[in-house]
Amino acid sequence: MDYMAPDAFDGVPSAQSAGPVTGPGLVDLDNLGVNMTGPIVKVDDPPKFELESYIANYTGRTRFNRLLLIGTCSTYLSVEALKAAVAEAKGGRDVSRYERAVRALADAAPNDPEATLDTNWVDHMKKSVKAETDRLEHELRGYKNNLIKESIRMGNEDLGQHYNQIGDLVSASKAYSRMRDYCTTPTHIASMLFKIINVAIERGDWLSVQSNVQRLRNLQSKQEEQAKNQPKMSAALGLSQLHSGSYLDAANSFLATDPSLGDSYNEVLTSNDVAVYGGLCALASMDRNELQRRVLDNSTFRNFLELEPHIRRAISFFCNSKFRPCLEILEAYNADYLLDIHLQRHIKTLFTRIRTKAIQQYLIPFSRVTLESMTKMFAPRVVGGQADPTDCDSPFVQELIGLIQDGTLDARIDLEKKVLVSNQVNLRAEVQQSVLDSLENYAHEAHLRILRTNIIRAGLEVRADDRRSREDRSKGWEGYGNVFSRGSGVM
Amino acid sequence: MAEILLHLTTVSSQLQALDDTSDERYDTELRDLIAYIKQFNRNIDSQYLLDNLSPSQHTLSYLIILNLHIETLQNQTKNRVPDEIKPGNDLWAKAVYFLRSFDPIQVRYAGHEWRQLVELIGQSAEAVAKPFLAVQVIREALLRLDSSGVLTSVHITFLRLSLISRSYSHALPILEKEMFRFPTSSGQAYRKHIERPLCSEDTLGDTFISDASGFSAKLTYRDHTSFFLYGAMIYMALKYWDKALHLLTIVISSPVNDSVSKIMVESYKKWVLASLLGHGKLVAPPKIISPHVLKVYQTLSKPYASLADAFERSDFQRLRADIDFGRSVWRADNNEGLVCQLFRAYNTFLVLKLGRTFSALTTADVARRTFTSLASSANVEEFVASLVMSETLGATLVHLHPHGSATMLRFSAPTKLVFNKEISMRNRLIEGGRALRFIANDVDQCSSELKLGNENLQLLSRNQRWSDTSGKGGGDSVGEADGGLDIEEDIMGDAT
Repeated sequence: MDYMAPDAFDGVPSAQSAGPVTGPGLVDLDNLGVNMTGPIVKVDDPPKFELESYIANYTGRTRFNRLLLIGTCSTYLSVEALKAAVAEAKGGRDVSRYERAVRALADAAPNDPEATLDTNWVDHMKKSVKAETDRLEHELRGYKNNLIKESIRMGNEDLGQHYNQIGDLVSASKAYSRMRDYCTTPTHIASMLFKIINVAIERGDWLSVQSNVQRLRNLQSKQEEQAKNQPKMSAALGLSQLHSGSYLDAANSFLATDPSLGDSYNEVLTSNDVAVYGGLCALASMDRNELQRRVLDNSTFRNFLELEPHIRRAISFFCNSKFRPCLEILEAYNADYLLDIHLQRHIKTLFTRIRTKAIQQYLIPFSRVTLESMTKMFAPRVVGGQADPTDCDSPFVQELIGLIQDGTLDARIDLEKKVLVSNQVNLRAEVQQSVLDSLENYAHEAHLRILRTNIIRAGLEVRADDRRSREDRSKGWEGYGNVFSRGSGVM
Repeated sequence: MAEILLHLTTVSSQLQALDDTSDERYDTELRDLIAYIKQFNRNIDSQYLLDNLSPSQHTLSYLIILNLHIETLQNQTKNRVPDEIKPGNDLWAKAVYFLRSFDPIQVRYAGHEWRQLVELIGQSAEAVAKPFLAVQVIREALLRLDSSGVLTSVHITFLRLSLISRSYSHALPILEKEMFRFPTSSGQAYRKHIERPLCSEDTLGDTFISDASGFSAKLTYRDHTSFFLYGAMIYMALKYWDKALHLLTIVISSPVNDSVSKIMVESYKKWVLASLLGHGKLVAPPKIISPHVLKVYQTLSKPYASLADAFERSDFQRLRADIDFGRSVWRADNNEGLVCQLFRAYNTFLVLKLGRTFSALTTADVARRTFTSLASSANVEEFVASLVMSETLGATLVHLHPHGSATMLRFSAPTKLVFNKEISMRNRLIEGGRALRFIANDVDQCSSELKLGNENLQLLSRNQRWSDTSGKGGGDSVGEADGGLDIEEDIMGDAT
């Protein structure tokens, strides 16, 4: 019995066919550390986490991806992480990963004994993979001949899992999506969709993640099933929204994640990650009231926040208008965030937004603030280094100028007295001005339109042939009578 | 001859006495008078009559006889503009005296003659290369006539003369009266039932100026577009950018049937420049321009678009390169003068923009931030001072003693409440309200002429109900065009 309308999946083939062509928006996470087109982020500061315990939180393929990212980006943990990555890859069946890890290690520590390729293992693994692929495809063909739905589904599932293991993600998601015709219960469909989502997350195909989460949500399954799926769904959705840059949506998704997530989604992210991502997105996109109400007073999200107390502290500092400690906490954890596979690309934007919001909030109570006190608050490092920290050319003043010019700050800089003056709003004058403006606009618009009507009525439109205009002109009036009386017939 | 004079003067004095009585009497008397004058042969002693008639009281007689006189002269000398009518001569003085003092009510009956006279004045002033002499005369004649928003060919002649004579500010009284209408015969059908005699005080310009009355020559699309273009050019010469933009907008958005006229393209080019000079950016084109017309403009004015782009992006290098590069284009389009003003406008808008970011900074900073021709801080100071003096910029300049020669530029707060301003604001609001009433009135009139007035819509909906009860066939025929006019008269009958 089929639980889904046959056309419910119409979107999938196109999404899948679009998948292999990695568009500019899609970043193949699998290749992130190595083939990245942009400059590789280099992190020199030691992160706050312990690599061992950090990576132990994760399972599945994300372990290797994270290790490789840390290895290539952090100068401090490079060798340690890459060695772990090599070991991780060797424990799996993905040959290309192993090769990549060894190459990266050779770059970082050329003299390390582990930096040479174990060709025996590679050859052996290649052969075994090939054999396994052949066997599974052969089996699947057999199932198909027998026309047993359940066997075909399982055959596809096995094949997808195999492809996933060996790193052929495109084939994996193809194989998984082939399962859909043979799914007979909602549970099957849900598990299939989760597999597709996981592969899509690894591939960085965020559109596909979103559409598949939507499908999961529309799935008619039992209440407890839904409840069980909800945390993973929200987390996956939040992740995709984070990557597409809609931080407020992402914050909402993460905030809605149920604490029962626990460590059930470790192949993608941990509860700690949910706390960090959700907290940062919320900090970057919500105002103080909302933060207080929806994040700090949120009893479900509190469970996550307890895992990452620094985020909680940062948010409560922000809510209490203590921006310096808040920014300090975030800066202290900057290295950690930069070494996170999902945050790396977004942390800069998130930080800028948080900072901008902090500056905005800071200015609200003041009508004029000295640049000096602002510099102390938001750019303390500059104070020591530069002779005149409030000079027109100092980076902080430049930042302020940028914010004023794009309209974020409603204030002006006084370079003589070195203060930032907030613009006083004179409502009365503003209303008067806007009345005058709209009066003028209306008069102009009405003039334009009346003239237009009268020009047409007088038959004075611009036309190539002047003779015709006279004819039309004499007919003009009757013509209009016709149009309007006919139109009125419909009324 | 004296007999004729006596008749003419008695009729006029009778008319004076009739002022209080009905318009209809006045109307018939005037028509009789015209019939009487028109039967004169050409040999009467017009000189004698002219000397003894007063243009303000015997307007009609004076005008017709003056025209007769000129016509005779023209026939004698075989010259369109005889010497006698040229400035400084006797007939010129007479004509000018007449145009300054004629009675606007009486002249309604002789629109054709009036226009002939005005045009002749223009031609003769041009013939002696002194168009300025005609500008003031025609302006006063037009103001006396009070066409109340109807465009006539005389208006166009007038603007052309003021452009030629460079007497821009003299044209303002005429330009400031907004033009709404065109002399047509088409509107007459509608007014038949409410028509008052021509002489009535309540008769508006759009009624007595029609195709038949002769106040205007036949207009074509060229006339009305060039009228607004001339107007815009006058405003641009006076640097009233907003008003110029409005008139140019009218031209570029005028309705087109199948092709775009060159006047419109020229106006679009000027519109681009005027919006840069007036607003510092390209304002959004009015929505009523159809997209294909806009596309035609854009393809025909590429150099201007690039200029505007450079200006908007504050890219001074490119702006200068574009201006140099397109020199021949600007010259060919006669827009060189406007383009030259772009430099100054560019600097002005940069300084204004700084005023939104800073409340005070040194002129050296200004010089650094505005990468333009006025690089040195002394030049900047001079420039800013000129802006402040012309009240474009609300700011003060302060010389700082301890900092040596540095000058601090302090911008005043964006909305500073001044008591004076409150009063002027009040006046402006009242003025705006008046303009609004005026235009709303016109909108009403326009919609009732388009059969979109309230009464007509009510009637139509009533008709609709009839047609529902009496079956479809009957209702349709009532709605048809031929029936439309009858119904129109019906409701008016009810209403009065």
